[in-house]
Amino acid sequence: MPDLAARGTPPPCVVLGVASSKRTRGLQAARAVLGLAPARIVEWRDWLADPGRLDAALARGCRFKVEPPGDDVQAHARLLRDGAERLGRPACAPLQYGELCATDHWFAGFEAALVRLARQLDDADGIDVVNAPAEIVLMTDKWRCQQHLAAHAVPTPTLLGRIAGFAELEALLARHGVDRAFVKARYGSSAAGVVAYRRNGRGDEQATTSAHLVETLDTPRLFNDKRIRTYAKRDEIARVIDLVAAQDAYVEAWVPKPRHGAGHFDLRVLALAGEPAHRVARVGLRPMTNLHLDSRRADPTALLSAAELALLEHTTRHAARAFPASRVIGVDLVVGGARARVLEANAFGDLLPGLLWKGQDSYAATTQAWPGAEALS
Amino acid sequence: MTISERAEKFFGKTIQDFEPGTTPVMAPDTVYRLSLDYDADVSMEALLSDFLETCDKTRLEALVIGSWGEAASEGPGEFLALLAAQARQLPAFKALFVGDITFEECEISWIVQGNYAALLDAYPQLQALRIRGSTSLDFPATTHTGLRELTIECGGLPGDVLRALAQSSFPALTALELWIGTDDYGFDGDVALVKKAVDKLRTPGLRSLGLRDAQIADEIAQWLAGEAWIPQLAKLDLSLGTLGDVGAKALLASPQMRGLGCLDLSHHYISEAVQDQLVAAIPNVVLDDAQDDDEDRYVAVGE
Repeated sequence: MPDLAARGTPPPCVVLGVASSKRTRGLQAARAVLGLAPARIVEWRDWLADPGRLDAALARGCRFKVEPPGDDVQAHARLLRDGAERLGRPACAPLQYGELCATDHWFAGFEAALVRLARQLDDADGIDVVNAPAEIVLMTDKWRCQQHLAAHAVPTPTLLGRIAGFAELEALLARHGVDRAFVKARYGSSAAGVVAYRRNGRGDEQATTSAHLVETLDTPRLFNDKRIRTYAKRDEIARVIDLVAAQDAYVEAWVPKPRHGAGHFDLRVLALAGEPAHRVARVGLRPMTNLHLDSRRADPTALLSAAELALLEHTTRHAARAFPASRVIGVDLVVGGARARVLEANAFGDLLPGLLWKGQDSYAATTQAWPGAEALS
Repeated sequence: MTISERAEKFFGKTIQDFEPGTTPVMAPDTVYRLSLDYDADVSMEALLSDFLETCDKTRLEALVIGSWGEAASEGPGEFLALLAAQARQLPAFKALFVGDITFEECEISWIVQGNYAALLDAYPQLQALRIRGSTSLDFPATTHTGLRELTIECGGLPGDVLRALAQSSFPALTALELWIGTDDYGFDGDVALVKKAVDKLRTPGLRSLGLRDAQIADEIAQWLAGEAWIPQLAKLDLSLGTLGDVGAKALLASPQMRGLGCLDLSHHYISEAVQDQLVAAIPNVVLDDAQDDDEDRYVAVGE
């Protein structure tokens, strides 16, 4: 990595992202506060249409960061089309706003795009890449990511297997002798396509999820919602699971979250250059505790013992080591008693508005966090 | 809403989780909660036994039992029997909460309960009993001269429990709280049966009455509006149910409601106009958590 700071002038920062997104605005705001020139934003949609647009931006040394394309409908549609083509499947009908569908197509398009990006970065000189494209792809494939973590001896919830539908979920539960599990869309981001399923021995079942099942004229569809619903009718549960599994899904053990105040909590820790930095407990009334789903933030130091905090940091470092070419990783964990389990590693895990660590928000910290980081001008 | 709100207090004491392997400290202002994850490999009976072995039995006043592992498939029978068997060694024991369980741990309507006859027999000095969950709840007709506070929280209170209560006698009772729930989750009675149970348990000393989470909240309000004994209460709690204008107008027309120290109607379907009238007429009415009345009405707790 070139020692950019030694050059005396702050190097430019280039972002492949969506200029109007919360993430990009947060990053620009942090740079302004630090007295740095705004990052140059290359729009996902423009780069997908004409990769050459990035070459000019990469012509001289820079810090380069990928932000997710998710906020741009046009880029999203393009990735879906490219993915369908790559998979040799017919393109799906244009998605409605918030529709949870064809995430496997999307991922195929995203993966191909990041492979192209990696080549483009390799061809340029003096580029300081924040998170390497190959590792972004690895973390975005949640099934592969969990296996990757487990292969690095990072403690994770037990993976029960992949499923193609509700019948396979039932078979999997029977095989493992459990009555509850999490079903996760393999390529879903945050809580999208996550279903907490449980049953009792008396024929009752429940599926709790932020996916909203809408029965349209010809076919049922799923939509991401900020409201978490619980489905208790077997036919509805089966439709929800079938629709999630149709996009590729896997099942993992339901890890009990420790209880606190109004509910139960897990934790998000930002690993910056491998070191645990920003951290927040997410206390929720429902099995999904993502912060956009009505969960409350709480201070981990108020909830965890000194030993648990040490375990939290140790496990975060351990997880981050599995991604040596990524310097900004959001690690989601459950820590309780003497155990920690990593639920997810997120290559885009730094959207934590207002959360400070050592006086800096996540964007200010990521601007300065590692050797070679930009000096204040 | 579902039950994820931790019971921060029980019997006036702050709830504190018991950490297995530690020695309980018998502080008068705290109560221990014993709970197990669903995948725990020990039983609540074993955990309770360890707890009782290490605590100062002569001073143990209260206990909160949280999730007993798979509360959706096994009842509390074994650890309740253990507790009953230890009664002679627990002379100060006065308060028990069985089922301080959140939605994450177990859906309330799935919690398997059990029989409380032996426990009540064994502890004549018991003052407070709180039970969450009504599946397989066996609460036989009982006479108990010590009991002051009885709470049964559930998604649907079975008629059998109400009929047993209607044949019970708790002469020291000061607080009664029953979650009526819905017929989807076990409530198979009607307002007449609820009235019968309340009439039997309504001692002259009753100060707090809660008939909560009721699908039949309007009918309950209409009945209570005509009761001359309401002024003996400091608190009437009809929250968490489906109370709408029909019940609210009955309460409004009842002069007895105006002197209550608290009339809690939270989680309701009352129109704004009638809410305004309630606030004007009843000084201590609580109208939090108004629900949208455009669609079907739902009780707050019950899946």
